[in-house]
Amino acid sequence: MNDCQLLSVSKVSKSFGGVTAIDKVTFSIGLNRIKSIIGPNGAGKTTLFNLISGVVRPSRGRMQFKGTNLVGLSPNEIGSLGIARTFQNVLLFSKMTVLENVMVGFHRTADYRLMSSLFRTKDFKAQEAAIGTGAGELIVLVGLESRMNETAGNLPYGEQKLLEIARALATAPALLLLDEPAAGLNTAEQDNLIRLIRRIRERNIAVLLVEHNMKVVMALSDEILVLDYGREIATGAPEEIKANQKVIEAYLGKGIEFARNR
Amino acid sequence: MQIQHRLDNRRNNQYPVFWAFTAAVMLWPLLYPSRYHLNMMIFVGISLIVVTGLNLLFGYAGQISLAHATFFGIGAYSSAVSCTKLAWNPWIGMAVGILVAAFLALIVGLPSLKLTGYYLAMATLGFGVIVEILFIQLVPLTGGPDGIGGIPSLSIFGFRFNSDFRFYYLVWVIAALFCLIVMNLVNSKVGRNMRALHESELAAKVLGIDTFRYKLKIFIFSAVYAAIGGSLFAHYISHITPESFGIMHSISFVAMTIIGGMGKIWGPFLGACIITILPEALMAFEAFHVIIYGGIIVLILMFFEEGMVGLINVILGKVSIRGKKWYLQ
Repeated sequence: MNDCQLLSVSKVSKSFGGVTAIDKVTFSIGLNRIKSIIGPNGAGKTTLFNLISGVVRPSRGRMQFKGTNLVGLSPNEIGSLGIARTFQNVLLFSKMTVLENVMVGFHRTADYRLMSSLFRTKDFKAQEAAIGTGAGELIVLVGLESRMNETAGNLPYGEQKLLEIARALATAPALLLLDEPAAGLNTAEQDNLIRLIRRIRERNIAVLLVEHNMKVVMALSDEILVLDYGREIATGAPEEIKANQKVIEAYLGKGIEFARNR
Repeated sequence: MQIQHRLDNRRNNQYPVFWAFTAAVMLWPLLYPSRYHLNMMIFVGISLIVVTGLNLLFGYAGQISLAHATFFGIGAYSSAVSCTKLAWNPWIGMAVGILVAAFLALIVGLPSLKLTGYYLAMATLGFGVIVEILFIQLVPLTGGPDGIGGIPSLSIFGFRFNSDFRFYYLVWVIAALFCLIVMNLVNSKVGRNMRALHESELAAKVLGIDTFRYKLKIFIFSAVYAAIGGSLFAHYISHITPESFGIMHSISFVAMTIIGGMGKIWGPFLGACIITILPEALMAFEAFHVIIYGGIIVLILMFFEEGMVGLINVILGKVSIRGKKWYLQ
């Protein structure tokens, strides 16, 4: 793989019992790029995210991030390397406030010693204040500044998704994996999300997007990878994918073709 | 800057209350030196030390230990054996207890905390039962069911803590110091990370937090607190027997944590008070005291999900909205 790639996944497979969820999938994403992974339900998109973030281990294949082998690393090691993710079903620390949620993400920035937190030294207070400010900036970025001290579990769904993105950004990732960020959002919220993801890219973060909402996918993607039954069926720019026969079949079935020919 | 300001405000709130409370506890024996109440407050203080550690583990990090009376016993027996059979300095005995408890917590925690879920509860339950049997059966070391008597009192530079009055101060200075340590810990990234892994271990891991190491360290930390409590207990009552360190006492430490209010700084104090004092106060009801005791605890838990802290919040909330802020940690 050439070295301008941030993440490269090659021939990765994962089977659960006898079911092959991911079958020899190969792709890569470069610095600062936005790539989408699409496909019908059950195509293995979320499994692919779980493989990259170390939540499940691949049965076969290789994955490299910035030249480091990811296979066999634990989720926290992968998180520390600079890959952050969100979850399809939103996993927040729901009893903590919006600000605290994002501050947790800054845990590596806070490198004060245990002793300085016990004695509440100046260094400790300065670092905590800096983390608070940093977290505040990210909350402003996603547009939740009016909710700063709200308990995360009390936010409406759309705002919880934004908070999850802010928390992921707090780890200062080079690659952000977003699992269906637009699901359940209304049109205005979708436009807002598109603007947010563009701003995230401006911060030199590459984004890998699993999404069903084609408006969002087409507006953002540099490249699209299409999966069906765990296999790659197409890769290309948005325009190419729209015209790809295999993709149309995967989404709509062969029946359309059959009907047209009659 | 506005963010920072709010943050500091909320955090510093609990410190003035803590210092005021500590001052009250320190003054109390001078104003009201009843031997019976001093004795009871010493037991509350010893329990508070154990429960403060357990609250960190259970209330904040969400891991249940059913062996805290065991670690308490390990501290007590280490002190007892070191002082009576080996004639060591009592403080060395306490240090031995700390080391043994920390080592055993490491051994129990290593396999069980790798897993997500309540496996620590199972592992500590087994461990507690095994150690309880050892306390009873290792007669040459532990004295068997008769226990060990004649444990000397503690002393610093020739000053002996040999009266209830003196021991009260020893216990409560240690308890206040340990509460302060936990408060500072909880108000740092350690506390944030613990609460985070309690709520969603997966989300915490994905953010790069090594949840296993966190859980293990906190478990060891809380076992050390229990051992120190046990050591003080042994020096105070001077004769220990295995029945003080059984599974029922482990459950009672867990009960103190829950009744007080989990994951709240004031929880352990309120829990230790209720569980220690209530049975004494209800003695007037003779045979019925167990039923009334159980009934009160059930009522607290039914109506106040957050335990005694929740109850006090409701009362203060009615008295004044501002007062409530003090207790919100």
